[in-house]
Amino acid sequence: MIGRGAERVLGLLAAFGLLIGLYIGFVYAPPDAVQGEVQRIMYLHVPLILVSYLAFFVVFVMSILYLLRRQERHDAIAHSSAEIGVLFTALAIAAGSIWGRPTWGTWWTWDARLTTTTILLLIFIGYLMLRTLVDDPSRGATFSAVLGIFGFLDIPIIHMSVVWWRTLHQPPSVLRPGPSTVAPDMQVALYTNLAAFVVLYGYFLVKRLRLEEARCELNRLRMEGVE
Amino acid sequence: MNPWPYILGAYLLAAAGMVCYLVSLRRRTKAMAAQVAALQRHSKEAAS
Amino acid sequence: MIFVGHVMAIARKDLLAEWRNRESFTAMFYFAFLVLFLFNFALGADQALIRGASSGLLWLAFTFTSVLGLGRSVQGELENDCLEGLLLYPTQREAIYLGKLLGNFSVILVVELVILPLFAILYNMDLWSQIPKLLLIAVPGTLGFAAAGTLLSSMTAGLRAREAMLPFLLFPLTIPLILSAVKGTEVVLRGEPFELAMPWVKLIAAFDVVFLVTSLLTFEYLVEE
Repeated sequence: MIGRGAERVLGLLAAFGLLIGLYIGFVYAPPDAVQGEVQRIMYLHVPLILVSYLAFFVVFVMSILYLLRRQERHDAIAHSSAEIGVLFTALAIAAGSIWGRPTWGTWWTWDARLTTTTILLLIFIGYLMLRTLVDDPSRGATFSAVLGIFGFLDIPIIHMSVVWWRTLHQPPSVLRPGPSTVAPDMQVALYTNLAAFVVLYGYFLVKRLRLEEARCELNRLRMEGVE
Repeated sequence: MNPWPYILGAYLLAAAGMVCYLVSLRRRTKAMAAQVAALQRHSKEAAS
Repeated sequence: MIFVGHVMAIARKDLLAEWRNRESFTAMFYFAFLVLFLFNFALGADQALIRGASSGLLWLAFTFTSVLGLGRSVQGELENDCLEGLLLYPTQREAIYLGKLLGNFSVILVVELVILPLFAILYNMDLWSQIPKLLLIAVPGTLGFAAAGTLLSSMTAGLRAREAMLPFLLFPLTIPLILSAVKGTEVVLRGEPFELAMPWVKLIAAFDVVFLVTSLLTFEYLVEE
């Protein structure tokens, strides 16, 4: 695993990146032509949601690796990544909801992407709940791995169904957040923030894995104690 | 409509969420480490 | 061919056990009846409102009842260590999964077939001419739901909070399936041409394929220990 020093560097890098992101997002980038200042929430909302998809993709890959190779390391990464993914998804939905209030005039709308993201959040909250309920660690790891794979494979189907549900029977009344063509300055701000949040995700993951290491150590000691 | 309360609200909420998560991680790691240390001490005592 | 025989044998065992006491069937049927009955009070006597909500109502009754049946089915295996015996049966794990799936699927489908006429009578709807079309949606819909449910119930069976955990895991995963089934049924109940329901049927088919294949690939890991 990663050493303490590298972990600290990663943390500093994340903090520094987020500060730069804030500066570019609030000062450098111009206000949006249509939405005005409120569009600045995009630099928070979009990176959060993209990183949470990354986190769930990591869960998917690590779950497959765990089922094939049976190494605790893969399960630890999957579990940690799922937890961070849930945090980021929840924050992204909250930020999106706050963004929706001044732009759409409502806190919540059954927009396709919003609904898909919420269903994803529900699936992975279930994943974390299942974890806490299974006493045997290796069984818990196997169960969650299977659920992690299903949860990720379900995303495209959920998205398809929800998009059709919103479009087949209703005129597209829901405004898409953000303009269709993003101005270059805005792109810079968006990508800077995205990079910062990816680093932050890495930092959280490393920190979360420390907890898993301690848990493995505890289980090992308990096994020895039993013998 | 003044957009700044919404912008600040969104950013502060996200920041609060991140900080809470870090604090919870630290607490859980500490608790786990304490348990490990206690078990190690216990097994040492049992061995001696 | 031997594989198919094994699948049939396991499904037959489940259905025979069910036939002997009819516990699950009675519980599911009565529960579905109560759900349909209670919806009447939730919606009031407004016939137009009921017509608009009918396909969602029908599928809520189907899914709630199915969860009840799925939980009971795997619980029966845990009693007297039946699952251990089943795992000792000399066949592939895939056959055990398919056998259990076939058993669950048949029971749920039979319950649905009984509920449908009851629904038509209680809510004064003309379903009889639509039944073949309804089956084109209900059969693949039930198959996907049973496929996901059979897999998940084998995970939640031994847990402390199993009654709560099965729906917690099953409902979010099957939302696209439920949504498609509701929308497809809506088209049929309105008497619109079946082509309008085709996208939904295709989506249900996609769900079925993804969940069946993934379940077959992962089931052996779940029952390994």
